[in-house]
Order: sequence, then C-alpha cells, then structure tokens
Amino acid sequence: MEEPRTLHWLPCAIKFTGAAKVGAYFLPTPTGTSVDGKAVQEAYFRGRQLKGTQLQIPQGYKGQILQRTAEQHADGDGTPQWSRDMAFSEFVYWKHGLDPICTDSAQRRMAFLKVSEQLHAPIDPEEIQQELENPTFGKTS
Amino acid sequence: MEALPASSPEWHSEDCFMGIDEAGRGPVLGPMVYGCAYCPISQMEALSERSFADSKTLKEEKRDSLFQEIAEDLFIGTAVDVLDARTISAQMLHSQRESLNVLANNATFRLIEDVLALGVKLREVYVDTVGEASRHEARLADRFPGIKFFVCPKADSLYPIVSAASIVAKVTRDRLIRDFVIAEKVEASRQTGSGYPGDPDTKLWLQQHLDPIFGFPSIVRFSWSTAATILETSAVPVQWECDEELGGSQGQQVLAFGNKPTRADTSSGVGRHAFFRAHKLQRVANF
Repeated sequence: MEEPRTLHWLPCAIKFTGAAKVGAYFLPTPTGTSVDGKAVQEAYFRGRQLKGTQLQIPQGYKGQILQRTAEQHADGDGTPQWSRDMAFSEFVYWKHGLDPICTDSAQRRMAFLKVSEQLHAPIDPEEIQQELENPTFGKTS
Repeated sequence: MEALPASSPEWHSEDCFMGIDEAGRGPVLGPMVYGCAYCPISQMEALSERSFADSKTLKEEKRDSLFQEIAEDLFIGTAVDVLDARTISAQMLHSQRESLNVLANNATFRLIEDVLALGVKLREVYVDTVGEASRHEARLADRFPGIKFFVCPKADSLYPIVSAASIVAKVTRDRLIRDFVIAEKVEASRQTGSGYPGDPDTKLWLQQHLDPIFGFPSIVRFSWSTAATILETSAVPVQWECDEELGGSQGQQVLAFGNKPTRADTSSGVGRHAFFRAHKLQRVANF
C-alpha cells in the first residue's frame, strides 16, 4: 500500500506535471498559532515562506482529482477522456507569506456549495404564500 | 544568542561601549551573522593594546585564537544575531519585500536591545557599515536615545572593539557553515567553496544541488541573482501571484476541460452574477 497522500494547494503555478520529491523537500511544520480556529502550518517552497491550513470538503461532497487520458483532436473530433485519480476529503490551502484567513476567496468559494443547495432546494408553495403576506426578505431579525 | 553567564558581571553597570560588525552579507550560501563585543569604557586603553584587527585580514587560526581570547576575557561581553539563509530568502521574496538593508538594520536593533536587556549600561556604540553612514547613524540614535553612535565604513579596522565584534561574527558564521545541516532530506556535499557567488566551487555546488522542482536546499539564498539565474535556466518555471501583479495579466486563469470554454462559462462571463466573479467560480458544463 502507498502512504496516504496529502494534497497541497500552492499559491503558484508550477509548469510541470509528474512525480516530484515532495517528501524530501516540502516539509510543513506547525507554527503553533491558529487563525479563525484553524491551526496554521509553515513550509518553504523555492525560498518563499508559505503558511497553510487544512480545509475540509463540506459534508455530502467529495474532492476528486481527474487525469486526462485522451485528448480531443485539434479538428474537434473525438471526446476527451478522464480517469479518476485520488479522491480527497481535505487539502492544505497555502498562502505566500501571509496567514490563511476565512475571507480569502479560496475559502469563501466553498460557501458556494451552501448557496447552491439553497438555490436548488425544492420550493414550498406555502412558504411563498407566507412570504407574500408577511415579507421577511431583506429584514434583519 | 551565545550562552550567557547566569549572573551579570558587576562592570555591566559601569559606562560601557560596544562594537558591531557583520559577517556573510555577500555570500549566496549560509547565514548572515551580526556580532557585537562590549566592555567598560575604563578598559578602552587596555583594549587598544590587544592585537584585534579586522577579521578579514586575519588568518583562520589567528582568528580562532582571538575568538577564544575574547570569550575568556572577563571584561568583554559578546552576543550574536543570526539571520539564516531561509529567513533571508523568505523576507526578500515576500509579497511585501524587505531589502537586505532593512534586515541588517533590524538585526542591529535586536543586538543592541539584547545587550541592553542584560543590564549593560551602553554609552557609545561603534558600527561598521556598508551603506550610507549618516542615515544609519540617525536611525540608530533615534531608536536608542542616550547612546552615542559612531557609524562609519571600515570601523572594523579603526576601532579595536569593532575588530573584536568582527571576529565574533566571522568565527560564528564560519562554524555555522562548517557544521551546516539542511532541513531537506537530501544529501549535501560539504564542498561549498567560499559561498561567494563568484567562486567556481560555489557555482558547481549550486548546480549539483539543484532539484528541477524545488530548487535548492534552504541553506541557499534564493533571493540572490546567482541562485535566481540558475533556477531560471535549469529548473521548472514557477509563477507566483505576487510576481504577476508586477506586470502580468490580471485575468483569471480559465480551466479548459477538453472543450474550449465559452465566454459565458468564465466567472466574469456575460449574464453571470457578481457572486461568481467575486469568488472566481467558473462553470464547467462539458467534460
């Protein structure tokens, strides 16, 4: 069995696809501090200090890495094909030199899943009727 | 900081003077070390009779024996501030970049604060500088009122107390380089050369310890042009968000799952709610 792999999301684009000596060079250590209730880790990449925190994929969802196994031809023929690689339920979100905070767009992005649930939730006609008679939208309680 | 005696010597409460010098500002490898030596002003005469000289003009053996002498001298105190290569790289490559001069300034401030915290009554501080002496002197005087500063180039050959500081800094750095350990789990040769960018042995060491993805072990100052040039020519390109802002495109990177995304799929696409733009969320309909 392979060692369990950790997924790292770095604040840079590495123009390379393939195996890398992650275990020898990328060495996250806990800083002992926490931000927004999440423990902050520190690592160095290419001389830069990175600060990261573990983010969970929300309940009911799954992270999945896809690998392209077939390309679409330049003339538009054929269908691109994908195979499933690693599935994940958490990943480490890294920032360059700054603490990861909950208002970062990367973290706020996860909020879309909640918004999406609301948008796609079935509408109860009674609720609409109630809202029309006694509007609560836009009011703070 | 070096190990310090548990109880401070009595002379700490006498009027004292101190010298500060740095070692390892130029090399692409290893730490930059700020060292200081201080003693009572009443010892100034005696000090000038000693053979302390600018550490660069001394042979290694002579430097080591003088270092020993300084360490054993009951009327001389020493302290060091070590800026390791990883810290130098990280600060100089941070999105809010710090120059080496700012790092050097901060190290000097810390050193003085450390010595003051020991209860040493500093009256005069002599500092060797590579930058503009008068500005550096003004900054120091502003930060530490009550101390008279003498900042000048070549102070290490003019004032014996600065010579002593230069010996402390240089020997400390040499030992750190000699015994270096790297955090990364890779083999590293000890044949680093002098560590100066112009040294062919140092250049060879850099070439031999290059990983195409991760670059160098963290004993290397990635912020030095020598290191950056090797990375540019021999390693995988890496783009950082903060570098792109300097002149690159501001646009969102568009994911293409095989099919070219249409204009409407991007986060700022026509007719899409601002929520998607704010969160950089792209629609993917076709895989």
